[in-house]
Amino acid sequence: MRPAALLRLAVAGTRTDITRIVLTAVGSLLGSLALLAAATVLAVKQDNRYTNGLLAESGLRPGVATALIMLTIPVLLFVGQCARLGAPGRDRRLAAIRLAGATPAQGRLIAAVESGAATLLGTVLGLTVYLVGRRIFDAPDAQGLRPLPTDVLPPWPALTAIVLGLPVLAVFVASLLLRKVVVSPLGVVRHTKDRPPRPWPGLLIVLGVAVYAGLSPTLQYLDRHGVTVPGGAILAALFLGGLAAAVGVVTGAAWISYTVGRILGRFARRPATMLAGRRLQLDPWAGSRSLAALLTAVLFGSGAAWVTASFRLQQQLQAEDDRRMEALAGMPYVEANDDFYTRAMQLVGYAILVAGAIAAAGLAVAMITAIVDRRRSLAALTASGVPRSVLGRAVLWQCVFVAMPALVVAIATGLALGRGFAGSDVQAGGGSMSYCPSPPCAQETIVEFPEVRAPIGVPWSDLGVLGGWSLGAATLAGLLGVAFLRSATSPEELRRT
Amino acid sequence: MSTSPMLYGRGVVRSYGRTPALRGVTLDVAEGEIVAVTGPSGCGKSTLLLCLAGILRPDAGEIGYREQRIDTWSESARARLRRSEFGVLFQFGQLVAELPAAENVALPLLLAGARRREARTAALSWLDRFGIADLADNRPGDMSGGEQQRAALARALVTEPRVLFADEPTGALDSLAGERVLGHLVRVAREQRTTVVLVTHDARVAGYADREVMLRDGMLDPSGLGLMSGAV
Repeated sequence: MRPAALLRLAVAGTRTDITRIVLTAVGSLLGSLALLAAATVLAVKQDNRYTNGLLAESGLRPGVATALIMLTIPVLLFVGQCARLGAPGRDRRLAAIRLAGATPAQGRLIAAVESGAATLLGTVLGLTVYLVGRRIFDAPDAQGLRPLPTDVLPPWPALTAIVLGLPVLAVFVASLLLRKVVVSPLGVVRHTKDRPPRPWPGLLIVLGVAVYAGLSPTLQYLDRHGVTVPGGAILAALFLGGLAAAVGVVTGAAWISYTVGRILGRFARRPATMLAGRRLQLDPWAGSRSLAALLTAVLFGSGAAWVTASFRLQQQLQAEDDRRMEALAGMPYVEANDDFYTRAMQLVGYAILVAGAIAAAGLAVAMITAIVDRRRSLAALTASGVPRSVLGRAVLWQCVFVAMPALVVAIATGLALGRGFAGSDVQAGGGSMSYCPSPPCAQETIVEFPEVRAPIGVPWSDLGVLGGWSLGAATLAGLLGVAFLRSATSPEELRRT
Repeated sequence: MSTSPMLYGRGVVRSYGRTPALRGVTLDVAEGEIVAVTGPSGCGKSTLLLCLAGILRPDAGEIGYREQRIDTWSESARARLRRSEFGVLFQFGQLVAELPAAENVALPLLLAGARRREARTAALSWLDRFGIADLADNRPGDMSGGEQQRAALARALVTEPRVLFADEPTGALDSLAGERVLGHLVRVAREQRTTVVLVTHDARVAGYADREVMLRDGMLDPSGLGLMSGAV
């Protein structure tokens, strides 16, 4: 098959397919922008050239880059969710192409190229937005300081790797997923997991938390023995630990989904709850897939809330210490505006908010896809007399009953990661000060300030906002699915093949 | 009939789970012959066609084409054989809904590596032969059932296959549209000496064939009294 024919077959599709391609492109655009921004931050060589302290100091830039790279995780999960949009139609098309004489390899290639082409479109647009954005936001002040590193361009190999690497990754992942799909001329068969999910992903969560908790003592131990650990290794450990915990929470949601379904199936008495329970039991991985991006965003949001709480406490203790010192010195206390770290965490919070919004969009896409994919059986249920309101409630419960416990696990895991990273308490003070009680002094009095240690309190209000917001997003996505139910259960759907 | 059949099935057995569809069917088809496979619903005639076309692999028995056993071939090799030597025509659902008629017809040629322009020219010529050249840029959803089936027939024949497999090709059409499709099919088959295996439960359709074999409960009916005996 010639490349032109391959591309034509890969992008041929209905409005749903075009929507999938557009959403995939949007996701990869955002992902490539985050990676380009990370590459730019890493390419900064000189200090104190930017108004933002996070960019101005070399010690903080790797952290900023890691946060930006972390931001790509929910984005990539969103892209993964979009890939399922309109799957039945695509399956029919691939089967028809196979019937026309395509080999299995050609069928897989067509499907993989579709993902790759959409991702390439997104990354090329991402590069364009990035290059244009560099010009627009390049605004040095009178001292020549810039708000963003718009004067730095990552090396061209890095740019090329991002623009071409993401599509190659998309093709690779699509090919990997298609290994379990047999596209025959008569239809598409998916080799799904027969065994119910098990709670083993909990071990991944434990592993991730252990990496975060063990990092600081390990570094201290190595430092005592004169071993210097490169910064890249620390970042890699943080990234891999976070990734393990996120994968654990996301795949663990399947077990939660199955268990909730089993409990509902056993104890529910109302049709909507029974339908929701059986559906969760039948396809527990659907809950895991649809909530994946949201859970990841909540996990990191919760971790960031703990770290923010530690910075806030640190700032508070430091201010108290300063107040005591200055009171002794007889000077009026002026509150120091040293909120650098809390402002930095505010930026992280914005990044998580963006990730959360992308995740909520992904959840909505997943909910709508789930309804559209099952429209024929839903239409059959309606035709046989099941009220739409019952189906609507079943759809909503399916989403909310899994989201609630899964969000609790994500928040708890995030807190554990944050606690491992920032510790469980904060210490301040611990210095001494010499002062003259009644000048002129013959002898100064030395006052020692004890070291103050305070435990970091659970940031309930932040977690409440995070949990409430994400549960609200899950409920909204469920309601969006309900809104699609009316058209999906139309008797016309019974006539569709 | 020549001594060496062009296409054969020997003792073909095929089940779906625990439900047997074929229980040891043996059938020889000669070059240029039009064979109608008939029988009641669920007797296994479509399964036999799918096995002979290399789409399904039998659980036991042999499928052969031009003295080569093909049921042992890989899926890719059988797909290539179908693309180059066989044409397939189903009742419905075989056209790619997202592609216009001309591209649908050109598809087997494109998959085989033909240039787009050449493939389109060939496709237009076949659509013209079947009287639907003016619908070349219409998608299947914008065509009538009969027009769709003529486009599907054009696609099945665009590679000039040696064997055409047709499973209830007029099953979803009204009698007039069905007659037109069958008329085209038989005319081309006679002109090009294409072998045709035609599955049907319609006596009038079976009446177009040179020979009829009847299946009952997954086996050839030894009585041999098929639909053609009462064909109109």
